[in-house]
Amino acid sequence: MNKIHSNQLFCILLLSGAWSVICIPALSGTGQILGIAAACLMQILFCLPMLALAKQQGSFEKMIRSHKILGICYIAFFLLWGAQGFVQLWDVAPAQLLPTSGKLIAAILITLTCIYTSSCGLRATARAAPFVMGLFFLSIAVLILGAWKRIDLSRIALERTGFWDGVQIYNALSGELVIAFILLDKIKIKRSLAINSYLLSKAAFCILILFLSITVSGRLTELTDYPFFMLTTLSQPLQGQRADALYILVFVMLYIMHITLQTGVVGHLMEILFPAISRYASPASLFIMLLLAWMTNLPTTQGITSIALPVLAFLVPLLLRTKQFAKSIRKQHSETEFRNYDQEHFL
Amino acid sequence: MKTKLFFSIPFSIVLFLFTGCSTESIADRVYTQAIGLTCNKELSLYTQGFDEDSREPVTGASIAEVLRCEESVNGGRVFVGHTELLCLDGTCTLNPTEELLFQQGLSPACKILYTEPDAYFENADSTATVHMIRMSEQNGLLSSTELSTALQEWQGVWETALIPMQKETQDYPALVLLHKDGACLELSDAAAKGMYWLRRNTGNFTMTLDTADGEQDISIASCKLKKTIQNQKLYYEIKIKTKDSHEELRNILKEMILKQCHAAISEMHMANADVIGMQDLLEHENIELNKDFKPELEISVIVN
Amino acid sequence: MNPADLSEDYQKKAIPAHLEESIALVRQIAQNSSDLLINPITVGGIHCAVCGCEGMFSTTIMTSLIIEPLTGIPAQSSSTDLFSHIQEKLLLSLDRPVVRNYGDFFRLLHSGFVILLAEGQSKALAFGVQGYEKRSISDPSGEENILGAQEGFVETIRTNMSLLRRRMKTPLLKFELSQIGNLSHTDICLCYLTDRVPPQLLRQIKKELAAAKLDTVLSTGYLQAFLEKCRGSIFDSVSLTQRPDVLCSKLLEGRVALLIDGTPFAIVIPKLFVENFQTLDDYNYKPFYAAFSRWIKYLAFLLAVLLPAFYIAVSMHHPELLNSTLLLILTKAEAEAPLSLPVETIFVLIMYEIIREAGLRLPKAVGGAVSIVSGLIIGDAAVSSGLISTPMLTMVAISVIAGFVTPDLNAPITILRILFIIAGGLWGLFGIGLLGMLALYNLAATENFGFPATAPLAPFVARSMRDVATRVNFRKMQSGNFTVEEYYEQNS
Repeated sequence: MNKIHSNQLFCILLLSGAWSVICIPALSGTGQILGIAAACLMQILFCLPMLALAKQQGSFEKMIRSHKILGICYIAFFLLWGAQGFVQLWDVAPAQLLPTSGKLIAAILITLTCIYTSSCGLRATARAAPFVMGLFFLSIAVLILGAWKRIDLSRIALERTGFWDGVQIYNALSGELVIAFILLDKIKIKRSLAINSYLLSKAAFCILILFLSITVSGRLTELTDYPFFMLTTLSQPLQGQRADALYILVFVMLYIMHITLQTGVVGHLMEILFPAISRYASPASLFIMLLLAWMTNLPTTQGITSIALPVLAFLVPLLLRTKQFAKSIRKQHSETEFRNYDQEHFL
Repeated sequence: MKTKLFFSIPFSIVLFLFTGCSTESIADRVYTQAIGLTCNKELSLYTQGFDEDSREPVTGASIAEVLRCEESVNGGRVFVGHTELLCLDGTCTLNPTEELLFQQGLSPACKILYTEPDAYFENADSTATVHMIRMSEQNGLLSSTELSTALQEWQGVWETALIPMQKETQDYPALVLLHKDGACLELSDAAAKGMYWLRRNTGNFTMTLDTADGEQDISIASCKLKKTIQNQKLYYEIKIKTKDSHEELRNILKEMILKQCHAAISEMHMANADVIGMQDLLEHENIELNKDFKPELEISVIVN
Repeated sequence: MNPADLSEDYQKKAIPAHLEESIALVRQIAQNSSDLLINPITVGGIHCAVCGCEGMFSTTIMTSLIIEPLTGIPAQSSSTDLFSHIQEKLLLSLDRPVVRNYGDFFRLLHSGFVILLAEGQSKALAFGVQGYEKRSISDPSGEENILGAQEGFVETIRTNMSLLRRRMKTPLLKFELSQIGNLSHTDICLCYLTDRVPPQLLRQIKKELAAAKLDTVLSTGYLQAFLEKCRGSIFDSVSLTQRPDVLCSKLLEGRVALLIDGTPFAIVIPKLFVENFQTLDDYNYKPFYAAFSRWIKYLAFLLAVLLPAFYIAVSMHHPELLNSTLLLILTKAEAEAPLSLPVETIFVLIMYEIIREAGLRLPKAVGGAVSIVSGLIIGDAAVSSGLISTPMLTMVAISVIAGFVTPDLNAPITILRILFIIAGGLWGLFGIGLLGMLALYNLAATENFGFPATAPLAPFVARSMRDVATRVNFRKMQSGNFTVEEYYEQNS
């Protein structure tokens, strides 16, 4: 009788993360691939405190109820991250040759769609995720099939440089860990399996894209800002027919999942913090994201997530867990004292 | 009110569609099978549609401008997504083709041909040309010559791409080494054939050898290219499997391939070019590369 | 009595002991309706009246089972003795309730019972001798199959109950008969297997039915709205079936069925989206073929919804997806068509819907003529005149035929198809992606009494894949004791 099942959590996190990965800026070299693998391992360690905390269900809810300001920080992060997503959409839209008359139109259409999707709630997002996941896997299979003949392993240069770039960029793409921390509260079983599978699958996907970009696109990667889209252009499974426009479908679906998840989580946080106005939380948050993206020029890769990730997904759970631990020790201590006192005075 | 709004939105969209002004139809576009580019003073664009005669060339400052110009001449948006052949004369190389690929949706699998667009489009038969290039690739006469390959090579340190060239005198294309800045070197027949072995794995075709008994056919099952680097020296090993067990024939083939490969390397060095993936190998050893660097290269051929 | 007050007044009014007054009241309440039959008769020396509703009871049965035994009753000292004699010594009918008020009196009278009133008795005896005209059991025309039974539900609820009982001879199958509708007093019957039904589901259904304040229930649609908890969903969350064998299989999975008198359909709660692709024949064929046909149905659904939209999107916005030969064919065909592609497609689809509606409502003989006129004359003329292009017509035809594969999804397919065409025409694959997500979320948000329509795919239940991704044979299927309770998601 879970609110969200662990496999659904895995799907939503991976899909949201996959969108960040396909918008990864131009990268090359094995150094970065190693950096990504290292960042993935680091994130597995990052998740230990939140997993430990999630064993006491409802702890996150309790925490933000008692520290409202912290809850507001989480909301602010999601609003900024969502706005960053819109900026990213505008940057990527020309690479995808979207058939709309302008990038703002594309963003507005997506916002309108997200107003509905986020109104369906987090549970609907969780249920929709496995279906999108199916399409996503299919598109990856088509991509690999198309890329297979064009892979040239000699293009892989063993570079040691770029390791830290890889770590930094991958961490900046991992805002989903903050979502994971919040949603772990809604899951009863197999929490660590969901989180670890997500982290490993996302790293594997990221490495796959980089590997294919290097071995298929080669030096052409330097001509584009987004290697994934270059890769889709070059990897055609059929000789006489192109399939790259098909990735528009996947792109749109992943993006909607990405934004809906953020607005859904904002809605969930608002429901806990300000239940009276939570009804309007999702459309309002979408509007704020769009406005922020339009008015400001947020950095698309590093920045927000790089700073927020260690604080919101690692330090906060760590502090809370430490607090809980100290409390339980104190309680144990006082119980022992009380028992000793009882023994001394009454027995 | 809500219900009215709910129904009025799709209704107005349908009405909008009924105006016929929404978007262009499939028949409203002008499709091109072949494109030619020259960059003397201004950019000139030559186009030919499927089963059509060549259209009048248009000129402009950029690709976007010439395409707009072409639109006004032909009365429809020019769609280059189906273009099968791109003709260049050396005056236009990386930049316009890059723009065509990334901003106009030109297919990366589009074939590229070194020719004078002015002359070619006068009496062009692009279907035949594309067919000839494809058949030459299949029959071991020409290595892969797609736009994406050429762009990769122009992006390299030596900035030179291998491009086929149509010659009146032979029934298959010759090859040229075309530098990004327009400098061009036509490869000899032997060197052109040598490039075929040195560029990628191939196989499953039949070729004719000159032997003491006259011309003889030999079937090549597969041709595997192995590239290694040791102490800044490049080793290219070509392993060929034939369907023929005749020892003498295999020796002739081996000698012929070696000769062709050496010719290819020497002419490639002459043009200061790299069209056989040397740069990727050299980067493994973290060697600082420059245009004048001529790496040492050893070729071995094994025929089973 | 004011007719408007009648419905409230007579329901609880007790039957008076005086026979003449009682008969007068019956006539007054029935407003001297022509089908009311009241026959005074002396039984065992006591003045009585036999009441019936014309056409609702069987005259033959009444004569042989009621009238003849009644006339043979020896003289009784009082009406109380007469009623005791009838109740204790005669078995006139198996179903013989005692009636004490006019609410029950008229309900039974209108259900085909014959009612005996006697002088001095403030109660009446009812005898079930129903004999109204009813349709005999025939093929379920809406749910044809090849290898299954050829019996379908009829309009009579008791016949339908017997059809179920014949297939499930277990006391665990429980029927709960009740009435609904202030005026119609329609019999409805909840059916379930007591050991398999999720108790919370049954509780909530009963609550919803109790809350349904309707004057009449003439078909399933009247109650369906009360049993579908998810508003705004384009997909059904309750299913209808005409087949007793299908219903039995649903009951076995812990579902609840609702039979309604007067309609040959049973409502089954809850419904999962994957059920739209399951037919009884799937379980009669070999598993490999059943699995194949199931995947064909999934494909057909996607084709029915998306094919015309993809065609338009690719033609208008992404022609690079076509190979050059196909592109040339389409360009040539579309160049001759006067309308824009989306308009042309919507026009053809609307024409098809009009023709379909015309064919459905007309008598069968004329319906055939409609098909000929539409298919041969209009279709051929439209193409040859150049009004519509052949490739587009082909796409629409494939899409429409694919829609026939899943008849339960006809309504959502029709609407989604048109919406996808608009989205594809305006924004290409981008628009299709957006609308696809809207439809997917709509489906994902559909749930009924805590049972998500997307189950068993989301939430994913690996065990259920044996009847979704494939269809295993009954050796494997019989083990497991599956019930829908596995999909239940608690609301919080």
